[in-house]
Amino acid sequence: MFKRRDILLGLGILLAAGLVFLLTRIPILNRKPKNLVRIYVNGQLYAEEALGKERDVTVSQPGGAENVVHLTENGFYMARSTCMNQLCVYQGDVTEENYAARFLGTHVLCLPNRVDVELVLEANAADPDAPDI
Amino acid sequence: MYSMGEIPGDPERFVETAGREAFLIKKTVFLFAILFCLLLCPFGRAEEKYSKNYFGAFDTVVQLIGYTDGQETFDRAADALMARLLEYHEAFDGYHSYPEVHNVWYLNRYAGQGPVEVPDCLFDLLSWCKEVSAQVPSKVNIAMGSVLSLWHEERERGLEDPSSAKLPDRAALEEAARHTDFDDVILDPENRTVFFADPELKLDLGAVAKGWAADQAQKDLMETMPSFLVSLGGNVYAGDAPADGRKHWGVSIQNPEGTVLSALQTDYLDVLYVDHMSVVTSGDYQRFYTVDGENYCHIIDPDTLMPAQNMRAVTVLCESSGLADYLSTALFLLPIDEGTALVESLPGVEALFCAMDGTVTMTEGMAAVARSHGATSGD
Repeated sequence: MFKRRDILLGLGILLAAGLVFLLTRIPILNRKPKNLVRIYVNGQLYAEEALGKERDVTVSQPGGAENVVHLTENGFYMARSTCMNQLCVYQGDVTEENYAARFLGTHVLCLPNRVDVELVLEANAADPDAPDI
Repeated sequence: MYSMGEIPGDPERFVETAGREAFLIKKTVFLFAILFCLLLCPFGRAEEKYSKNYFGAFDTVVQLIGYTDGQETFDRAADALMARLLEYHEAFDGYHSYPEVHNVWYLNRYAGQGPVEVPDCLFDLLSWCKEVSAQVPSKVNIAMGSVLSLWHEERERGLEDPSSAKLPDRAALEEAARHTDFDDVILDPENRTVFFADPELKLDLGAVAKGWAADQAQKDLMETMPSFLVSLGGNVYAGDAPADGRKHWGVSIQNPEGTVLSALQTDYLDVLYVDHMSVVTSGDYQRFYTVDGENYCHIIDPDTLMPAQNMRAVTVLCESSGLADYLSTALFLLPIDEGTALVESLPGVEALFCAMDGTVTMTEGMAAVARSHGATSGD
């Protein structure tokens, strides 16, 4: 009663489903570009940069506010800021190794200039008991 | 879809019993195949962690972390949250006016002259304050605005020009303190109006606004992105457990020796592992200014009209963020032993105290979720 083609089609569907399932579970294929830095200004995404080679990203805003984010191989720090308190510069560097020990975790914040810089890590790099906030 | 009778070409074939049976079996197999595919779908799209910081609401930074199926869902939840918080910020602001908002600033100016209609959120918050201060009597008094504004002015001036920083005038403080009876704030639920029976009275919602706002925001987030952690300038609410396999969020408690935006903070006071809970800290290190080498914090004892000096900080853990906010200020205004007794009399409330000399004590329920007592994110 089953034609060969019916069975083939059925198997084909199962195979396709299984394949999709497996593909979504293989970490290498789903891996986002390793460790990003996202820069937000006033809550809006300003830039997204992949880590890799050392460079500066300048965040210029109308009105003259300017922050310079220095990207390193495995993290970043605020190199310069026009803000009055310079707290963002004092917040030091953020890396995959030190973020768990930082009060602001993966972020460096410049409140006066409303700049928020975040190190976006691969999810499973996290220490499960490190505080989220 | 064709119904059986409409299959073109050879209708008789399907009337045949064997043919029909084969058709039904095929149909079943296809149905299962489709079901199988559908079942697998959720696994293909794991929830991911997103986070964002916003500025502006409540003059502090709002941090939102959540697990959801995409940036878009996260942004939608985050933007709705911020819109709501900005609305509250305007309504609860006692120091600025906004066009067409009858906020606290407006009340402080005009509610002594006659009833003022206020936004729903402000009316609801004031009603809530009446309830909570009746249920849990404490030194917290949101009608102490006239005293607090004297401190606020000197603090702002002192931060701008530290060399000329001074304390508020004692006589002015005492005069202001005569106009701080919360019973003089008359709420009319029918017309949603507020009236000050004492025209000199001023409101200051600093001790409750963020917590109450977090409670409202929390309800929205439970709908839009249930696995979340939100902090309104340190006023934290943790929703459903993080969707990465952990059972609780890790909420750090700042060491009073550090500053909020300092670099490395290797020595948290502690980390609490919680979900469906609010964590709120009141500390002398959050807002303060310095006069003649001495620090004066922003939490003022209504009895002495001076900054409270009972402890460095206190952290409250309970389900309601509004209550946690209110209690953290209430406890900050009490000696630690009296505060501990108060907390132990309240069901579902836990606290952690950091004494003046840095000694940390906590209630049993707090210890059960604290890293220092062996708790982890997976318990």
